[in-house]
Amino acid sequence: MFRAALLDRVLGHFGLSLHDWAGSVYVLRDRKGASAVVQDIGAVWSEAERLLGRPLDPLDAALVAELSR
Amino acid sequence: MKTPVVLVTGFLGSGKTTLISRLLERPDMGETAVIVNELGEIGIDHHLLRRVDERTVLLASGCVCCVLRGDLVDELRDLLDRRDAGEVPHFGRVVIETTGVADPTPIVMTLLSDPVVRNHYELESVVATVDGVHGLNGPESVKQVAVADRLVITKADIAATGGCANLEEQLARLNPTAHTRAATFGEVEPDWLFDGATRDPRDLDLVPGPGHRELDHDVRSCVLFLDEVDWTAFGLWLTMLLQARGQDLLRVKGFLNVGGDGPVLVNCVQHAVHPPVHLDGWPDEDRRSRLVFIGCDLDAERLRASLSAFDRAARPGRS
Repeated sequence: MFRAALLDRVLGHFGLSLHDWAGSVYVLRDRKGASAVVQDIGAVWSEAERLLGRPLDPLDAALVAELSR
Repeated sequence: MKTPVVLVTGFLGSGKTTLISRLLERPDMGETAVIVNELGEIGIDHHLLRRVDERTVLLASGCVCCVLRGDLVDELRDLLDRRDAGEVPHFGRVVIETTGVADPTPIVMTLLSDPVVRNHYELESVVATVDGVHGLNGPESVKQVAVADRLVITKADIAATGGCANLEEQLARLNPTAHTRAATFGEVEPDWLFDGATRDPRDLDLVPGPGHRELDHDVRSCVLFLDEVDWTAFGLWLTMLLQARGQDLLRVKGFLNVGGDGPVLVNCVQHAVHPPVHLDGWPDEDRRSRLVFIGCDLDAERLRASLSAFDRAARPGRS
Protein backbone atom coordinates (compact mmCIF):
# COMPACT_ATOMS: atom_id res chain seq x y z
CA MET A 1 0.00 0.00 0.00
CA PHE A 2 2.81 2.39 0.89
CA ARG A 3 4.57 1.50 -2.34
CA ALA A 4 1.52 2.49 -4.42
CA ALA A 5 1.13 5.72 -2.47
CA LEU A 6 4.80 6.61 -2.84
CA LEU A 7 4.78 5.72 -6.52
CA ASP A 8 1.72 7.96 -7.02
CA ARG A 9 3.48 10.87 -5.34
CA VAL A 10 6.63 10.48 -7.37
CA LEU A 11 4.88 9.99 -10.69
CA GLY A 12 2.44 12.79 -9.86
CA HIS A 13 5.33 15.19 -9.47
CA PHE A 14 6.17 14.55 -13.12
CA GLY A 15 2.54 14.85 -14.23
CA LEU A 16 1.99 11.12 -14.58
CA SER A 17 -0.45 8.71 -12.97
CA LEU A 18 -0.54 4.94 -12.73
CA HIS A 19 -3.77 2.98 -12.96
CA ASP A 20 -4.36 -0.65 -12.10
CA TRP A 21 -5.84 -2.43 -15.08
CA ALA A 22 -7.60 -5.73 -14.28
CA GLY A 23 -5.08 -6.41 -11.56
CA SER A 24 -2.52 -7.78 -13.97
CA VAL A 25 -1.03 -4.84 -15.82
CA TYR A 26 -0.93 -1.10 -15.23
CA VAL A 27 -1.64 1.88 -17.43
CA LEU A 28 0.52 4.95 -17.13
CA ARG A 29 -1.03 8.25 -18.26
CA ASP A 30 0.21 11.78 -18.68
CA ARG A 31 -1.89 14.96 -18.43
CA LYS A 32 -2.40 15.15 -22.16
CA GLY A 33 -4.04 11.74 -22.27
CA ALA A 34 -1.13 9.80 -23.70
CA SER A 35 -0.76 6.38 -22.11
CA ALA A 36 1.51 3.37 -21.95
CA VAL A 37 0.90 -0.16 -20.70
CA VAL A 38 3.25 -1.25 -17.91
CA GLN A 39 3.53 -5.03 -17.71
CA ASP A 40 5.09 -4.99 -14.26
CA ILE A 41 6.11 -2.37 -11.75
CA GLY A 42 9.77 -2.97 -12.56
CA ALA A 43 9.18 -1.42 -15.99
CA VAL A 44 7.42 1.68 -14.70
CA TRP A 45 10.44 3.99 -14.89
CA SER A 46 11.41 3.07 -18.44
CA GLU A 47 7.80 3.50 -19.63
CA ALA A 48 7.49 6.79 -17.76
CA GLU A 49 10.70 7.98 -19.39
CA ARG A 50 9.36 7.05 -22.80
CA LEU A 51 6.11 8.90 -22.14
CA LEU A 52 7.81 11.97 -20.68
CA GLY A 53 10.64 12.07 -23.19
CA ARG A 54 13.29 12.36 -20.50
CA PRO A 55 14.46 10.38 -17.46
CA LEU A 56 12.67 10.79 -14.14
CA ASP A 57 15.56 11.76 -11.90
CA PRO A 58 15.15 10.88 -8.20
CA LEU A 59 17.80 13.51 -7.41
CA ASP A 60 15.60 16.25 -8.89
CA ALA A 61 15.65 19.01 -6.26
CA ALA A 62 11.97 19.86 -6.68
CA LEU A 63 10.97 16.20 -6.26
CA VAL A 64 13.09 15.89 -3.13
CA ALA A 65 11.46 19.04 -1.73
CA GLU A 66 8.00 17.73 -2.61
CA LEU A 67 8.63 14.38 -0.89
CA SER A 68 10.07 16.12 2.16
CA ARG A 69 6.88 18.12 2.83
CA MET B 1 22.93 -26.25 -6.64
CA LYS B 2 24.09 -23.55 -9.01
CA THR B 3 27.52 -23.71 -10.59
CA PRO B 4 29.66 -20.78 -9.44
CA VAL B 5 31.11 -18.49 -12.09
CA VAL B 6 34.13 -16.28 -11.59
CA LEU B 7 34.71 -13.52 -14.09
CA VAL B 8 38.34 -12.51 -14.57
CA THR B 9 38.84 -9.15 -16.20
CA GLY B 10 41.76 -6.74 -16.51
CA PHE B 11 43.47 -4.55 -19.06
CA LEU B 12 45.71 -5.84 -21.85
CA GLY B 13 48.90 -7.30 -20.45
CA SER B 14 47.82 -6.96 -16.84
CA GLY B 15 48.28 -10.65 -16.11
CA LYS B 16 44.83 -12.29 -16.42
CA THR B 17 46.13 -15.32 -18.27
CA THR B 18 49.05 -15.77 -15.90
CA LEU B 19 46.72 -15.58 -12.92
CA ILE B 20 44.32 -18.14 -14.35
CA SER B 21 47.11 -20.45 -15.51
CA ARG B 22 48.75 -20.51 -12.10
CA LEU B 23 45.45 -21.12 -10.38
CA LEU B 24 44.56 -23.99 -12.69
CA GLU B 25 47.88 -25.69 -11.98
CA ARG B 26 46.80 -26.30 -8.42
CA PRO B 27 45.24 -29.65 -7.61
CA ASP B 28 42.44 -28.06 -5.57
CA MET B 29 41.32 -26.15 -8.67
CA GLY B 30 40.18 -29.27 -10.51
CA GLU B 31 36.91 -29.57 -12.40
CA THR B 32 37.03 -26.04 -13.77
CA ALA B 33 35.62 -25.03 -17.14
CA VAL B 34 37.34 -22.01 -18.65
CA ILE B 35 35.75 -19.75 -21.27
CA VAL B 36 38.03 -17.39 -23.16
CA ASN B 37 37.85 -15.16 -26.20
CA GLU B 38 41.34 -15.96 -27.35
CA LEU B 39 43.23 -19.20 -27.07
CA GLY B 40 46.38 -18.12 -25.32
CA GLU B 41 48.79 -19.81 -23.02
CA ILE B 42 46.37 -20.99 -20.38
CA GLY B 43 47.46 -24.31 -18.96
CA ILE B 44 44.45 -26.53 -19.52
CA ASP B 45 45.55 -29.93 -18.35
CA HIS B 46 42.66 -31.59 -16.51
CA HIS B 47 40.38 -28.68 -17.38
CA LEU B 48 37.80 -27.87 -19.98
CA LEU B 49 38.68 -24.95 -22.24
CA ARG B 50 36.11 -23.33 -24.53
CA ARG B 51 36.60 -20.41 -26.85
CA VAL B 52 33.82 -18.00 -27.77
CA ASP B 53 33.49 -15.25 -30.37
CA GLU B 54 31.98 -12.20 -28.79
CA ARG B 55 28.44 -11.63 -29.98
CA THR B 56 26.26 -9.06 -28.29
CA VAL B 57 22.51 -8.63 -28.30
CA LEU B 58 21.02 -5.28 -27.41
CA LEU B 59 18.18 -5.48 -24.92
CA ALA B 60 14.91 -3.69 -25.50
CA SER B 61 15.91 -0.77 -23.29
CA GLY B 62 18.49 0.26 -25.87
CA CYS B 63 20.93 1.22 -23.12
CA VAL B 64 24.56 0.72 -24.04
CA CYS B 65 25.34 -1.29 -20.89
CA CYS B 66 22.26 -3.49 -21.31
CA VAL B 67 23.58 -5.89 -23.90
CA LEU B 68 23.63 -9.63 -23.49
CA ARG B 69 26.52 -11.72 -24.63
CA GLY B 70 24.69 -14.18 -26.87
CA ASP B 71 27.85 -16.20 -27.37
CA LEU B 72 28.17 -16.74 -23.62
CA VAL B 73 24.53 -17.72 -23.24
CA ASP B 74 24.98 -20.36 -25.96
CA GLU B 75 28.23 -21.59 -24.48
CA LEU B 76 26.99 -21.82 -20.90
CA ARG B 77 23.83 -23.61 -22.00
CA ASP B 78 25.81 -25.99 -24.18
CA LEU B 79 28.16 -26.77 -21.30
CA LEU B 80 25.18 -27.66 -19.12
CA ASP B 81 23.72 -29.97 -21.75
CA ARG B 82 27.02 -31.67 -22.39
CA ARG B 83 27.77 -32.08 -18.70
CA ASP B 84 24.38 -33.65 -18.13
CA ALA B 85 24.91 -35.97 -21.11
CA GLY B 86 28.39 -36.91 -19.89
CA GLU B 87 29.94 -35.55 -23.09
CA VAL B 88 32.40 -33.29 -21.28
CA PRO B 89 34.31 -33.84 -18.05
CA HIS B 90 32.34 -32.87 -14.98
CA PHE B 91 32.98 -29.29 -13.87
CA GLY B 92 31.96 -27.60 -10.67
CA ARG B 93 33.10 -24.10 -11.47
CA VAL B 94 33.38 -21.84 -14.50
CA VAL B 95 36.02 -19.18 -15.05
CA ILE B 96 35.35 -16.61 -17.76
CA GLU B 97 38.31 -14.57 -18.97
CA THR B 98 37.41 -11.33 -20.74
CA THR B 99 39.49 -9.62 -23.37
CA GLY B 100 41.71 -6.81 -22.12
CA VAL B 101 39.56 -3.99 -23.41
CA ALA B 102 36.25 -5.65 -22.60
CA ASP B 103 33.59 -3.96 -20.56
CA PRO B 104 32.64 -6.68 -18.06
CA THR B 105 29.14 -5.26 -17.53
CA PRO B 106 27.44 -7.14 -20.41
CA ILE B 107 28.80 -10.41 -19.01
CA VAL B 108 27.41 -9.58 -15.57
CA MET B 109 24.13 -8.61 -17.22
CA THR B 110 24.10 -11.91 -19.12
CA LEU B 111 24.67 -13.99 -16.00
CA LEU B 112 21.90 -12.16 -14.14
CA SER B 113 19.37 -11.86 -16.95
CA ASP B 114 19.20 -14.95 -19.11
CA PRO B 115 16.60 -17.21 -17.47
CA VAL B 116 18.37 -20.52 -18.11
CA VAL B 117 21.81 -19.18 -17.24
CA ARG B 118 20.71 -17.55 -14.00
CA ASN B 119 18.91 -20.70 -12.89
CA HIS B 120 21.99 -22.88 -13.32
CA TYR B 121 24.90 -20.55 -12.72
CA GLU B 122 25.70 -18.03 -10.02
CA LEU B 123 28.11 -15.14 -10.46
CA GLU B 124 30.39 -15.70 -7.49
CA SER B 125 32.71 -12.78 -8.00
CA VAL B 126 34.40 -10.48 -10.48
CA VAL B 127 38.19 -10.45 -10.27
CA ALA B 128 40.19 -7.68 -11.94
CA THR B 129 43.91 -7.74 -12.49
CA VAL B 130 45.72 -4.40 -12.40
CA ASP B 131 49.22 -3.98 -13.74
CA GLY B 132 51.45 -3.13 -10.76
CA VAL B 133 53.92 -1.34 -13.03
CA HIS B 134 51.61 0.67 -15.26
CA GLY B 135 48.63 1.02 -12.94
CA LEU B 136 45.21 1.98 -14.24
CA ASN B 137 45.16 2.31 -17.97
CA GLY B 138 42.31 4.41 -19.31
CA PRO B 139 38.56 4.30 -18.80
CA GLU B 140 38.31 0.56 -19.58
CA SER B 141 40.67 -0.22 -16.75
CA VAL B 142 38.82 2.09 -14.35
CA LYS B 143 35.52 0.43 -15.15
CA GLN B 144 36.95 -3.06 -14.71
CA VAL B 145 38.13 -2.08 -11.23
CA ALA B 146 34.80 -0.45 -10.36
CA VAL B 147 32.90 -3.63 -11.22
CA ALA B 148 35.28 -5.98 -9.37
CA ASP B 149 34.90 -7.71 -6.01
CA ARG B 150 38.55 -8.79 -5.85
CA LEU B 151 41.56 -6.91 -7.20
CA VAL B 152 44.92 -8.48 -7.92
CA ILE B 153 47.86 -6.11 -8.38
CA THR B 154 50.19 -8.04 -10.64
CA LYS B 155 53.94 -7.89 -11.26
CA ALA B 156 54.52 -6.94 -7.64
CA ASP B 157 58.13 -8.08 -7.94
CA ILE B 158 59.03 -5.45 -10.54
CA ALA B 159 56.75 -2.62 -9.46
CA ALA B 160 58.63 0.41 -8.13
CA THR B 161 59.20 0.48 -4.41
CA GLY B 162 56.13 2.00 -2.88
CA GLY B 163 54.36 1.81 -6.23
CA CYS B 164 52.13 -1.06 -5.18
CA ALA B 165 51.15 0.73 -1.97
CA ASN B 166 50.21 3.86 -3.90
CA LEU B 167 48.26 1.84 -6.44
CA GLU B 168 46.50 -0.08 -3.67
CA GLU B 169 45.47 3.22 -2.10
CA GLN B 170 44.23 4.50 -5.45
CA LEU B 171 42.21 1.31 -6.00
CA ALA B 172 40.73 1.55 -2.50
CA ARG B 173 39.53 5.07 -3.27
CA LEU B 174 38.06 3.97 -6.56
CA ASN B 175 36.35 0.83 -5.27
CA PRO B 176 36.13 0.68 -1.46
CA THR B 177 34.09 -2.54 -1.64
CA ALA B 178 36.82 -4.62 -3.28
CA HIS B 179 39.53 -6.59 -1.51
CA THR B 180 43.02 -6.25 -2.91
CA ARG B 181 46.14 -8.41 -3.00
CA ALA B 182 49.50 -7.95 -4.67
CA ALA B 183 50.85 -10.95 -6.57
CA THR B 184 53.97 -12.06 -8.38
CA PHE B 185 53.59 -14.45 -11.34
CA GLY B 186 49.90 -14.84 -10.56
CA GLU B 187 50.52 -16.44 -7.16
CA VAL B 188 47.26 -15.99 -5.28
CA GLU B 189 45.64 -18.48 -2.95
CA PRO B 190 42.62 -20.01 -4.73
CA ASP B 191 40.57 -19.69 -1.55
CA TRP B 192 40.92 -15.94 -1.71
CA LEU B 193 39.41 -15.82 -5.18
CA PHE B 194 37.17 -18.88 -5.27
CA ASP B 195 35.61 -19.38 -1.88
CA GLY B 196 31.95 -18.89 -2.62
CA ALA B 197 30.86 -21.64 -0.28
CA THR B 198 32.64 -20.22 2.72
CA ARG B 199 32.87 -16.50 2.09
CA ASP B 200 30.90 -14.35 4.44
CA PRO B 201 28.94 -11.88 2.30
CA ARG B 202 29.15 -9.42 5.18
CA ASP B 203 32.85 -9.15 4.46
CA LEU B 204 32.63 -5.47 3.50
CA ASP B 205 35.13 -3.25 5.20
CA LEU B 206 33.79 0.25 4.71
CA VAL B 207 34.97 3.18 6.74
CA PRO B 208 33.62 6.71 6.71
CA GLY B 209 35.70 8.90 4.47
CA PRO B 210 35.52 12.15 2.60
CA GLY B 211 32.16 12.76 0.96
CA HIS B 212 33.78 12.47 -2.42
CA ARG B 213 36.85 10.63 -3.46
CA GLU B 214 38.13 12.37 -6.55
CA LEU B 215 39.71 10.07 -9.06
CA ASP B 216 41.06 10.04 -12.55
CA HIS B 217 38.86 9.62 -15.61
CA ASP B 218 35.95 11.56 -14.04
CA VAL B 219 35.05 8.55 -11.90
CA ARG B 220 34.59 8.99 -8.20
CA SER B 221 33.23 6.99 -5.32
CA CYS B 222 31.36 7.94 -2.22
CA VAL B 223 30.12 6.07 0.83
CA LEU B 224 26.81 6.87 2.48
CA PHE B 225 26.07 5.90 6.05
CA LEU B 226 22.37 5.98 6.92
CA ASP B 227 20.12 4.70 9.66
CA GLU B 228 17.32 2.24 9.05
CA VAL B 229 15.88 2.52 5.54
CA ASP B 230 12.42 1.47 4.39
CA TRP B 231 12.97 -1.43 1.97
CA THR B 232 10.08 -0.51 -0.33
CA ALA B 233 11.21 3.10 -0.56
CA PHE B 234 14.76 2.02 -1.25
CA GLY B 235 13.65 -0.35 -4.00
CA LEU B 236 11.68 2.35 -5.77
CA TRP B 237 14.47 4.89 -5.31
CA LEU B 238 17.21 2.58 -6.55
CA THR B 239 15.33 1.37 -9.63
CA MET B 240 14.49 4.97 -10.49
CA LEU B 241 18.09 6.05 -9.97
CA LEU B 242 19.44 3.23 -12.11
CA GLN B 243 16.97 4.01 -14.89
CA ALA B 244 17.87 7.71 -14.84
CA ARG B 245 21.61 7.48 -14.24
CA GLY B 246 22.58 3.85 -14.78
CA GLN B 247 25.06 4.64 -17.52
CA ASP B 248 27.00 6.97 -15.22
CA LEU B 249 26.57 4.83 -12.12
CA LEU B 250 29.09 2.03 -12.45
CA ARG B 251 28.44 0.36 -9.14
CA VAL B 252 26.22 0.39 -6.07
CA LYS B 253 27.11 -2.00 -3.29
CA GLY B 254 26.53 -2.20 0.43
CA PHE B 255 24.32 -3.18 3.34
CA LEU B 256 20.96 -1.82 4.28
CA ASN B 257 19.39 -1.85 7.70
CA VAL B 258 15.76 -2.57 6.86
CA GLY B 259 14.75 -3.33 10.42
CA GLY B 260 15.30 -7.11 10.46
CA ASP B 261 17.79 -9.24 12.36
CA GLY B 262 20.42 -8.66 9.72
CA PRO B 263 21.11 -6.33 6.81
CA VAL B 264 20.24 -6.75 3.16
CA LEU B 265 23.18 -6.97 0.80
CA VAL B 266 22.70 -4.83 -2.30
CA ASN B 267 24.93 -5.16 -5.37
CA CYS B 268 24.40 -3.47 -8.74
CA VAL B 269 26.64 -3.13 -11.78
CA GLN B 270 25.13 -0.34 -13.86
CA HIS B 271 21.66 -1.63 -14.75
CA ALA B 272 22.48 -5.20 -13.73
CA VAL B 273 21.03 -5.84 -10.27
CA HIS B 274 22.09 -8.88 -8.26
CA PRO B 275 19.24 -10.45 -6.29
CA PRO B 276 19.28 -8.86 -2.80
CA VAL B 277 20.63 -11.15 -0.09
CA HIS B 278 18.91 -11.00 3.31
CA LEU B 279 21.56 -11.82 5.89
CA ASP B 280 20.82 -13.30 9.28
CA GLY B 281 23.21 -11.16 11.29
CA TRP B 282 25.39 -8.08 11.28
CA PRO B 283 29.16 -8.19 10.79
CA ASP B 284 29.77 -5.91 13.78
CA GLU B 285 28.04 -3.68 16.30
CA ASP B 286 27.45 -0.95 13.74
CA ARG B 287 23.80 -1.06 12.64
CA ARG B 288 23.95 1.73 10.12
CA SER B 289 23.16 1.18 6.47
CA ARG B 290 26.27 1.70 4.36
CA LEU B 291 26.25 2.11 0.62
CA VAL B 292 29.07 2.68 -1.83
CA PHE B 293 28.41 4.47 -5.12
CA ILE B 294 31.01 4.51 -7.90
CA GLY B 295 30.46 6.55 -11.01
CA CYS B 296 30.60 9.90 -12.78
CA ASP B 297 28.91 13.07 -11.62
CA LEU B 298 28.19 11.77 -8.12
CA ASP B 299 27.10 14.05 -5.31
CA ALA B 300 26.92 12.27 -1.96
CA GLU B 301 24.72 14.89 -0.32
CA ARG B 302 22.21 14.84 -3.18
CA LEU B 303 22.07 11.05 -3.00
CA ARG B 304 21.56 11.17 0.75
CA ALA B 305 18.89 13.89 0.60
CA SER B 306 16.97 12.08 -2.13
CA LEU B 307 17.05 8.65 -0.48
CA SER B 308 16.09 10.17 2.88
CA ALA B 309 13.14 11.97 1.26
CA PHE B 310 11.89 8.72 -0.31
CA ASP B 311 12.32 6.99 3.03
CA ARG B 312 10.39 9.64 4.95
CA ALA B 313 7.62 9.70 2.33
CA ALA B 314 7.17 5.93 2.72
CA ARG B 315 6.66 6.31 6.46
CA PRO B 316 4.16 9.09 6.94
CA GLY B 317 3.80 8.35 10.64
CA ARG B 318 7.48 8.84 11.31
CA SER B 319 8.67 12.17 12.55
